[in-house]
Amino acid sequence: MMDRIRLHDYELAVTGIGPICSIGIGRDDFAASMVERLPAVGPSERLGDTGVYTDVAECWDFVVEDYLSSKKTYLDRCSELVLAACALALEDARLAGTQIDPTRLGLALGSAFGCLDSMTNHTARVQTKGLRFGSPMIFTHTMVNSPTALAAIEYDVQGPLGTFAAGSISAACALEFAARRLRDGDADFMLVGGCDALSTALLRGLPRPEQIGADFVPGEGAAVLVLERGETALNRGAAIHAYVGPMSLAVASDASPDAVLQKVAHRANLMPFPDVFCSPGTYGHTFGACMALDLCAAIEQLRSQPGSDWLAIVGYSAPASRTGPSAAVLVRSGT
Amino acid sequence: MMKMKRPIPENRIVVTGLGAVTPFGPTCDALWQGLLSGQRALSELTKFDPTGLRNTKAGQIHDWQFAAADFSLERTPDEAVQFLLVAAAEAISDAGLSKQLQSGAPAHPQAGTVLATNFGGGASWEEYMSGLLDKRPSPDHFADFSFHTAISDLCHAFALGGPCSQLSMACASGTAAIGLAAEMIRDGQVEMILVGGYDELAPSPLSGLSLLRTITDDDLRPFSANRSGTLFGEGAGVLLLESLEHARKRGARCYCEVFGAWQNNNAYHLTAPDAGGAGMARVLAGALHKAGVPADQLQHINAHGTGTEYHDVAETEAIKSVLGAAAYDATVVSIKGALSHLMGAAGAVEGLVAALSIYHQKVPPTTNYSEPDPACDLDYVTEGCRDQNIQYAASISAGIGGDNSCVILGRLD
Repeated sequence: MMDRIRLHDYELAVTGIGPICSIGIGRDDFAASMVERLPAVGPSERLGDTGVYTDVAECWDFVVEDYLSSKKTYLDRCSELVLAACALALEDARLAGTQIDPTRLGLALGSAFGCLDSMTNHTARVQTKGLRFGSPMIFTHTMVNSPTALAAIEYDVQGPLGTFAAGSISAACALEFAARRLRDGDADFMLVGGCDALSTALLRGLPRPEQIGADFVPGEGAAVLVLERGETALNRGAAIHAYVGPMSLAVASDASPDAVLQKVAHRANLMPFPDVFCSPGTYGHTFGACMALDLCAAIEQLRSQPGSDWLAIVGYSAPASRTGPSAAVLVRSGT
Repeated sequence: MMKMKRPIPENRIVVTGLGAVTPFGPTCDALWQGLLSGQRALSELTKFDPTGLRNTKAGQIHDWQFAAADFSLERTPDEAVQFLLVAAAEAISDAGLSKQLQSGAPAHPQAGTVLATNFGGGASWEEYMSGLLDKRPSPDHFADFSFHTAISDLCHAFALGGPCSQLSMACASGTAAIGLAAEMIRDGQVEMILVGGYDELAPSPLSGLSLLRTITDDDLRPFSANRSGTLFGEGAGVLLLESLEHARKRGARCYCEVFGAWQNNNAYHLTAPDAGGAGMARVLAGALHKAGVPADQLQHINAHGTGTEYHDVAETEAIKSVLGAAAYDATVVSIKGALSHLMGAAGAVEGLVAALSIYHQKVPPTTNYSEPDPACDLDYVTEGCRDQNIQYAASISAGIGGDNSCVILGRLD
């Protein structure tokens, strides 16, 4: 069976995706919008002050209660997106409500900025009223690892876990960690992805559009994928959306901005280089979520145009720069 | 009893360079000598007005000096990143790699970095928020706060052109980073990785930690019956990890070998430890399993040992549940009583101290231990530093959110 589909040891099956962004929530909604290719950008309905960025890509219709079984006292927007994306991914992989050994379920998430709404709230209290007047409850939700921790609690993830904060390649760092956990047999299933939420602090802190690129639209979202070994997926009869192949984290330089692509192609022994997936740009730039959302988008593209060729998703840590930390991930059709 | 021989893996990883900026001073030697002497590096917090905190003492770095030009940087980075850069320079020099890894040299594709932090550029965040509240926010302050800026600065300063990543798993970050870096080398992705943890004292995090009553209003006494909480500090710890083959080829000194690591979450509560330290037990057991080291052969543990009422018992129970009777033969040390809790730097600094303990076959004491607690009944090395024959050691960390990490180090055969 394994020989027939010629799986390499570096290939891992994607059996569930949970995208949340301005163009849609969940696989079906997201896939339909991918076909339409209509940008979902406009003025924020949630934030009062968006500075020079009049248009953003917000998760317009997102209500976290739609995805959770119990009411929470407080959640940062970033954590809301993560908890819902995990629920969608588990549902899509047909793992929701099944008996998974919690020690064999892992979680790896990336975020460029973490919980900026909560950080802003807590620091504003500290700066205006004094050190005694911060909020202990909100403070615990300011930590970059709090969305991952809350997801571990919500979905009883007792296996390997990591939170990565490396700008817009954060989700690729998480993918790299998750792939190793599966390859090494440390987990049967890995929930993996990225998140970032729009906030006034983020929009006022970004460079001006003329510095970052005139077509740059800040966005928010989360994307979580269920990754498992091909053998595990086939044994449980899961639908395999795609295979994720080699990935590479590197520092791109001015001289060779595509160094990561060269590396990843070399690791997969691919000549000529794989095609680079062109992000549709309809859901804005979602920072820590962007490589995970682009991976979901690439998977949907492959599902609509099945083929055996690899597609490369390439990301750079800072949206305006093709230098600094960068990453590439290869994906091919699961059919 | 016949002891099992640990199987030797194909790609072995060693620690060949160490660097530290801590409240004891801006060098690794200042840290090691300070710890062995049983001194304490806590002082009055003067970086900002501490009024309102439960305690005005902290592990602050005083008289800090930094020149951005020394690192070929055009702007002065946030102080937390300054600590990281200075510690990294020491680790690179210690490893004998200053000529290869310096700004202006061609980017070294076989040298990467894995960093760890809780709060990134914490002081820059405070500056940014101050501007935002005054309706004059500065994108420069936001950039200096942003976590990935540290990666870019480090790669630029030391011509690192290999893979890079950064973890933020609260106070478990630094230990997890050592484990991740070792795996990246073991996979053949790269020959050497600079692993660094860093953080600084800033008002907002300390306010939150004080309000959570994690900070004691008394004194920091890890594992003591009269413990009542921790005290926080700042700094950076950097380890240079490389493949044994690469290290031997260039004749490098090896402090220790990195055998395996694990990281997880209690999956229980954002701030409360789980009963019996089940999550920490899983992380220690997982790391030993990955390392191929039998639990009863672990001789030394650099513990998280925060001095909080519930954590120290949970950690003791976790160690006992994994090591069994052998737990009473191992030395278990918390350096926080001497140094304070360095947050995102803690794991890297404690891993570094564990490496030094193996290299010198000597363990520092749990400083400021004062009163035995029947629930914390292991050998905490309370009488002063001790010579010890160490083959295998663990460094354990835990953090807010319930994250845990553990790395197993050992003497190079």
